[in-house]
Amino acid sequence: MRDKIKEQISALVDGELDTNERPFLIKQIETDESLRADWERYHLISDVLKGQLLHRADAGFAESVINSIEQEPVVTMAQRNKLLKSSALKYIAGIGIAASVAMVAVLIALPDSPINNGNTQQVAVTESIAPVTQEWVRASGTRWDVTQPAVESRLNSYLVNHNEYSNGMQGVLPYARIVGYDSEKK
Amino acid sequence: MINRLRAVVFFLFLIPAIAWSADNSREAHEWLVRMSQAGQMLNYEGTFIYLHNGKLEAMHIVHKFGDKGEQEHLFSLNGVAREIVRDNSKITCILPDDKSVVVDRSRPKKLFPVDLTSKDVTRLGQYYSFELGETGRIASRNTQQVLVKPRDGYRFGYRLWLDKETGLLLKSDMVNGAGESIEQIMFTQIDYSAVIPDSALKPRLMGTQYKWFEHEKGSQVEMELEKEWDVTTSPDGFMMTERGHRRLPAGKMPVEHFVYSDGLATVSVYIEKVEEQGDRMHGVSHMGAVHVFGNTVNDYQVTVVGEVPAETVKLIGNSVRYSASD
Repeated sequence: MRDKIKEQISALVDGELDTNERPFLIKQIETDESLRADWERYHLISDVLKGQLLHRADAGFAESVINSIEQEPVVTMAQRNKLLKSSALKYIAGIGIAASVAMVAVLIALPDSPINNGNTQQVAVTESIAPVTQEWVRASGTRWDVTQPAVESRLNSYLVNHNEYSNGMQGVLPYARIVGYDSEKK
Repeated sequence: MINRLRAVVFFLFLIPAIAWSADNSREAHEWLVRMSQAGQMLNYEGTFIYLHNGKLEAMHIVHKFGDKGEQEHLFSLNGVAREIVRDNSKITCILPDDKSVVVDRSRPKKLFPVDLTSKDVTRLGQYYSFELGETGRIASRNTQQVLVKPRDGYRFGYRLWLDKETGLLLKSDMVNGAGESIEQIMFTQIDYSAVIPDSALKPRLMGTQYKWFEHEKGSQVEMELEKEWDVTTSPDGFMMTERGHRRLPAGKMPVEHFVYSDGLATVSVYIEKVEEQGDRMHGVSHMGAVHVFGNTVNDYQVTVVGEVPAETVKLIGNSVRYSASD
């Protein structure tokens, strides 16, 4: 059962889920914390595979989302309170909130959101994800002289892994390389 | 007769020179053993600078060794506030500029071989020479310099400055074959305080909207090996020390991983299926002293990573072969 739902989430992320299956699934994602985490993770995986690991939404995004929600006291406020209550202070839970809040916020933010014309929310969610992903900005900092973001993130993850196999000869150097990353702006 | 006498006199002078050289090398070795242990087992907190490619960074490090083993917290003092928190089980990289947190498994650091008569040390001696350098002063501490010189062009050398009292590495200078410095680290302040509070080992920054890249629990187990890949050539002295499948935090597919080491320098070979041609990497790139070389073999991306010269990663990377299972 769980696996079936995960498959559906994966299909949703890839935009391959049947329209009539979407409402039920999204309802479930909204109410189930671990499914939200799955949803989030599938997006990450998809992002990484597409080489879009870098810069997704800017730092103020989640905050501006929360602000918009506060100005929108109808259904969304209740939704948010409920989420806050159910998910204490864990990091992952925090991400879950941000993610689900983001889903709701995108609905609010889009002028043509189907929520206004009485259509189902689910369509809005899946459709609204696309514009966000297209706006991804590649970080100007690069420490490898490579141009493809996918290659860069792959090299970074290799470097982190490789450091764990090098011996103590270099002291703090391996980690300094990772932390020193942003000075490499070109 | 006079010639013979000359020879004898010359030889008499040579004996102490040889003895001195052996002593010097032996002492240098002992310093390195001390350094390697100090790096793991001391509690310390300090600020250091990192210089590479003409760029300068300042960082702060807190290191604790206690009942939980090694714990370390490193963060940048300028630019983007990147952080690394490392303990015995995992290494967490917090990357505010990417809004991401990358968590990988950590491994206990290998110590410099303690037994000076061991075959590891004999092997090292074939590829590097060890010498004591001058004494000096770094971050208000008295230091002893140790020089590690490669005997060929396939590895880098090191100039190391160790705290005379504790053995900790306070300054390190990685040098290429031409004797030029490639990467430098130097402490500007160091404090060996007895007690390090747990709070000093916690990440300072953690946005709740950060993306997490972490191994799923099930993937911790190394998968069974497929013996289809081979690294056919490596420079003298580099021997395979490990081989396995890894699932890296940001990747979906497992990656084949070979580790080669000459006892000091380490080279990793990663082999991963990369379908998208535009996402493949070819040729050499580098970050400080770390060189990488990319190559495509049968639709697989072969990437060699190591703190070694470009020639070394190239040689290894070009020798990777796929032998179809029959």
